[in-house]
Amino acid sequence: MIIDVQNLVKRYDKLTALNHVDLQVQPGEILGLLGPNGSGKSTMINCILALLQYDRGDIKVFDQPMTANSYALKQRIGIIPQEIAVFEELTVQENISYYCGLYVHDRQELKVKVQQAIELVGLEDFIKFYPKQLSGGLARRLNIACGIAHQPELIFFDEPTVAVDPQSRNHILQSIKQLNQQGATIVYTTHYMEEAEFLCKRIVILDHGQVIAQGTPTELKDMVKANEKIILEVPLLTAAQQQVLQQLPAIQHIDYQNQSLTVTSKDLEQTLLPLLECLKQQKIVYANIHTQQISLNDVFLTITGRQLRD
Amino acid sequence: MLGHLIYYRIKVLLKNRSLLFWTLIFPLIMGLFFKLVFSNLDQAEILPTKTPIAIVGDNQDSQNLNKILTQLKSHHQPWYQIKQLSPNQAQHRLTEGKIAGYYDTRTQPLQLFVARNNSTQSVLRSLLSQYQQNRALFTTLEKSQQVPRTQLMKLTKSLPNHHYTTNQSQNRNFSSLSFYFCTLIAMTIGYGFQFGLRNAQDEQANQSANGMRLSLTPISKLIIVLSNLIAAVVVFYTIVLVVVAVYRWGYQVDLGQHWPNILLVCFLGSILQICLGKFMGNILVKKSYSQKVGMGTLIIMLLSMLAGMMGTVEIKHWIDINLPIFGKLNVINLISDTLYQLFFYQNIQPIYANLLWLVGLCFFFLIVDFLLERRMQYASL
Repeated sequence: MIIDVQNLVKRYDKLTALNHVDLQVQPGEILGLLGPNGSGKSTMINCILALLQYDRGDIKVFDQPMTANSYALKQRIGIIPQEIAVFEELTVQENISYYCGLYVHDRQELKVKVQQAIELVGLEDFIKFYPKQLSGGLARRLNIACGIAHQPELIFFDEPTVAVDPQSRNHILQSIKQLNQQGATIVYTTHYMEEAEFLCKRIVILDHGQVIAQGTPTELKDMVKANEKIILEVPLLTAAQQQVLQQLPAIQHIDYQNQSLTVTSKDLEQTLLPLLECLKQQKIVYANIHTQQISLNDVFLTITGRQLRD
Repeated sequence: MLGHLIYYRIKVLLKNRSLLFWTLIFPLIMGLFFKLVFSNLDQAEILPTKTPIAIVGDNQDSQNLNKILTQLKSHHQPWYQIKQLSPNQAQHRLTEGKIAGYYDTRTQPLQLFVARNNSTQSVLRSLLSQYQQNRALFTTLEKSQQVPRTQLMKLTKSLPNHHYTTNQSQNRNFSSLSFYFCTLIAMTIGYGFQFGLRNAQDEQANQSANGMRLSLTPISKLIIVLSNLIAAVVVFYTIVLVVVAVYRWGYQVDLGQHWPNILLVCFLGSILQICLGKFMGNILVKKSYSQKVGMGTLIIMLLSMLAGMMGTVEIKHWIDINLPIFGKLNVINLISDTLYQLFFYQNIQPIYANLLWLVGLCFFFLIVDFLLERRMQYASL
């Protein structure tokens, strides 16, 4: 086991940030820690890394107790913090070289690893740039390069794509997959469900400091009985008409907001034709009909009654 | 590893424009301004000889002061013409401008009355301050009853012979320009707190993302702290040396001849200010870095003012006489006083106490910083 967390409790005065949390990470997997802001994701990582004091629990990394003085363990770990952690006064290359040099002492090896990190995150054209000269996405890539240049076995990514343009986001996600293929075990925290679905083999959903669900993306979606949504553009829909629609076969839930009607169904085939027929009978005008698969956000919504990004 | 850390830390500090502005550019601009404004001050205020002054009261203190003042000479000319007057006579003559000032020895502490402020009055104040300090020392010894009475009597009789005449420069006069530049050098050293502040910012996980990342590397925190301190001292001390060199050879300000000691004071001051900055950074965790820089800059300005930098010599003397301990704890005052004493005295014996204060404060803050920074885990981030 790469990480084994048992019964972890962390309190800030009256607030319980982590409430008896268990977490296991297997070698070679990408584990997603999914949850809204303030759910305890970053606190969990900081406790695992022995940066935060915690009130109760046992934490083992690489089968050894993790403490602040576990330098041998720290040598095998990389961290990409949520906030960009680079020096404004150093260039891209100098920043990566500085951080990598704290792990790698051989000069030749250091040069090679710095170059590999630059190539992995695609910053070859910006090595002489200062962080202030980089766009948000490129700065995030630099942040990643500083954390992975020493080629760690275990890497923590704490929301690495916050405020990043789509191009950089794709690059970052591809880089993380590549790192995993090269053998690194990855713990990835995010509140973007699509990222977690794309990257993670296993997902742990946290809310209010508790693990509320965990499993593969498919297992989590199976927890929600509904499996598909029908979305229609409806300019006007009265409450009475919504009640009529609710009576149709296999319908689980109806949501009408901003002229958009979302019908959640257990069985699309059973629902679609009666729904269209009913709309015709009720003389409800509609357009742009399409269907959508259940996402992790729906899982979170079903379990907590809130949206993941609330 | 230490080399790697120091090399990059020096790069970080040298490329920080804010640090360079406050510790190098700003003092050079201020120096130029002072040079333009005060360069003629010394010609206007060369300490005159045979200045009429008076002493009121007939006691041991009046005799001691009389002896001290009589011995002060410049080019074989006495500094003062001293008269023993009654309080009314002294007040009357002072009002008429016939005397530069008078000492009233009937009360404790002794009082100095002056009609206006210039270098003559400043020297009179300085002499009184030195006399009071020595007198206080003997009083403390007497109260402690650890020195035999006969020896104490001898010491008390020797009071007028202490430092005042033997250590006065034979060739130097009081120099306002040198005094102000000593306070400027002290202010420059004062701004070194920003180096310590920046170090604390980058080392602590609860203050910056860099601190967090560094805390998770396989390097002992003590090594990181030590290398950052070495880099800060190297960069900042070099900057101070550049500023002092520009003042001396660029602006042609006489800073005296005790260069090894001047450099030592600057070195100790640099370490002390970096440690103070770290202390500030470590205790004001919830303030942002820019807030801390703003607060520190204001404090340095205030301390510089209390050290007499902004034409506030009156305040400085009042503090030296009435709150001498505050004068020592005000590091700007402590450094500028020491530098000025190095300029003024031929014999460097009077600066030993100040050097001890500097060394003591350095050790104190080094230990406090170590205790604050050894922490590896945090209650919150």
